[in-house]
Amino acid sequence: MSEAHEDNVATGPGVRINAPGDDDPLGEDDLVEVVVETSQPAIALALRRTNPALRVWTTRTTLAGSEIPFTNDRTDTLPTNGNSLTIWVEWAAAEQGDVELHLEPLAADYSLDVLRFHTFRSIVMALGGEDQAPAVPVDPNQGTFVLAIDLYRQGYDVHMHDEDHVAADGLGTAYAEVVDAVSHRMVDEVSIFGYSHGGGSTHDLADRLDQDRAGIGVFEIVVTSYVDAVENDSDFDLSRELRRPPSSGYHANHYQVGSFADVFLDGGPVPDSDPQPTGRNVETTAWGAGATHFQVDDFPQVRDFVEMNLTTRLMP
Amino acid sequence: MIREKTTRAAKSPSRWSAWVIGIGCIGLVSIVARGDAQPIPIVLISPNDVYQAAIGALESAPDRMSFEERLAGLLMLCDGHLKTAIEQLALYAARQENNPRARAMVGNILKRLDVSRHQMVAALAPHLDNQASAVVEVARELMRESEDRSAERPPDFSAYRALIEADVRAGRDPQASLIAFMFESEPGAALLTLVRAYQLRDPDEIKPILWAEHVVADLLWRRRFGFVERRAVDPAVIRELEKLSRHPFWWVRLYVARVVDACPELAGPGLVNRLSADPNVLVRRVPHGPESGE
Repeated sequence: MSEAHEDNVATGPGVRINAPGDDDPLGEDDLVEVVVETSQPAIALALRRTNPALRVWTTRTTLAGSEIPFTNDRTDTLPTNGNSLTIWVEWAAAEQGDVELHLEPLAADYSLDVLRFHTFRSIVMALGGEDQAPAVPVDPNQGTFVLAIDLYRQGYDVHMHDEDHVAADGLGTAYAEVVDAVSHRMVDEVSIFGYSHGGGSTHDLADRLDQDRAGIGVFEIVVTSYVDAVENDSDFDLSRELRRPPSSGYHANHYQVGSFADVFLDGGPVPDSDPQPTGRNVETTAWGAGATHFQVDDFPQVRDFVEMNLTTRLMP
Repeated sequence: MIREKTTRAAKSPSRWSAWVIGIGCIGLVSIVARGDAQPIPIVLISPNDVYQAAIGALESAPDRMSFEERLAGLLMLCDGHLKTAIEQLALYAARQENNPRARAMVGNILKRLDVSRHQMVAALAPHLDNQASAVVEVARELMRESEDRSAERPPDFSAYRALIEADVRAGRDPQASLIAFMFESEPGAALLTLVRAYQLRDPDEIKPILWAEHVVADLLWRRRFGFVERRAVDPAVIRELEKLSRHPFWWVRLYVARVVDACPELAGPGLVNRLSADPNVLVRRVPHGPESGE
C-alpha cells in the first residue's frame, strides 16, 4: 500500500469483517498484515485506534495470548523486536465502518504514521484460464491475474482462483467464498471476471449465486467480464461461452475468432455486453488484428477496459 | 484396448502397480484384490501407433490445409472404431496433461467425431480403473462433461444407468468404480438412478430408499434456499440415514457415507464407526470425520 493511498477511506487498505460466525472456507484469512518499522528503536511506540472494532494481534490466526490489548483505544508499549514488528489487524465487529490506526511515541500525543482501514463492501473473483494457476508474484502472461493484482492494489478484496475451483454446477471454493462474504461479512456487491475456461466458470458461478439467492442474502452481481470465454464443463470443453452471466448488472466481453493457430479456441458475441451490443471482437481493432486465444487476455487495452468499467461501478 | 485377467492370489495394489506400469507397453494386464469380495480389474490402454501418430500429426500440422487433410484422415481411421478412437484420444491427452494446446486439440477431435454421451461413457467408464492415474483423470473429466450438469440442471446419469442395467440384467457385477464415481458426483441422483439400474421391482423394497432420499434432499433444499440454517439438523434425516446405513445393498450404504462425508452433523451416534467398519471397501474408504461425541 503506497503512502499516497494509505489514509484514503476508499482506496486505502481494506479489511474483511471477521465477526463470530464467519465460515472462513479457506481457513482464517481475514486479518491484514502490517509491518511497523522504526529507525529509533530506543523510543517506545504505541498504537491508537479510532474505533474499538479494530483489534491487533501478533499472529495471523489470532492465537490465544497474541492480542495486543488497547486501553481507552491506546496500547501500551509495542513489543518491537529491534527495529520492526509485524502485527495483524482484524475488524471484529459485525458492522461496516472505517478506522484510523495511528503509530505514536508512547510518551507523546502526535502521530508518526497512520493507516485508514475500511471494511469491504464488495468481493471480486478472478478466474484464470486452463493451466493458469494463481500465484504471487503474478505471471505477466496471465492477464486475468495481472488485472486482479492491479485491483488488489487499489483496495479491492480480490480472490484469484483456478477456473476449476468452480464446478459445472457453480459449486466449489469460489462459490463458498462469495457465500461466506455475503452471509457473514456484510458484502453486498460481487464482481466476477475470467478468461477462456475461466470465462465459462464466470457464467457458472454467477448462475449458481443467482439461483441460490434466497439462501445467501441480499447482493448484486454488479460487474462481470469475459475474455475469450469458453464453456467449462471439462478441460476438453471447447464450446464458446455465449451466455450472459445471469443477473449481472454490467457485462464486458472481449473475444477473437479461433483459427488453426490457436486450435480453434475462441469466445464469441454475448447478448447485452459492453461494448454494445455483444462485446468486442478484438480482431476488428488495430491493436488486436490477428490475435489468437493465447494472446487476447494479455492486451493492455482489454485489461484497461475491464478495470475502468469495474472501478467506476464497484467500490471496494 | 482393454485386457483383463483374473488372478487367484490377492496382491498388494502398490506392489502390482509398479509391476504393471513397467510392462504396460506390451499390454499385459492383471488384477488386484481390494480386500473384499469385489476384485477390480487393472485396465490399460495399449498405445496404437497409428492413432497416436495421426493425432500427433494434427498438432504439428504446418498450416490450415494440412490440418484439415490430416484431420479428415484421422476421422476416416476412427470411422467404425469409435471406442478405440476415444480410448486412444484419452491416452494421448493423458500423456499431454501439462499441454493445454494438445488437450484442446483432443477436445476438437472429439467435437468433430460428434460422439454421443452414451458412446463416450461406454468407452471411458472402464478407464476409471485404468492403471495410469492420468488416464483416469481424463476419463473422469470427459465423463463429468457428459453429465451435462449446471446450476439449473441435476447431472444426467442416463448413460451410467444403461451400463449398470446391462450388467445387472446379464448377471454380472456392475463396475464398482463407476458407481462410486456417481456417488462422488451427486449422491441423491446416484441413489435414485441405481434403484432403477439394479432392477428393483418390489415397491416395498423401493419405497424406503425413495423416502429416505426424499427426506435428506428436502433438508438440503431447505438449507440451500435459506429456510433453515446452512448446518441445520433434522432428526428425521438422522433416522433415515441410520436405517439406510444397515441396508443390504452396499451402494445404499455408500449413499449414506457420501452424505455424512459432506454433512458430518447428520451422522447419528455410532453411524461413523459402523460405516468405517463396513464390509464394502468403497463404503469404508469414504472419509467420515470423527464419530459424534468423540
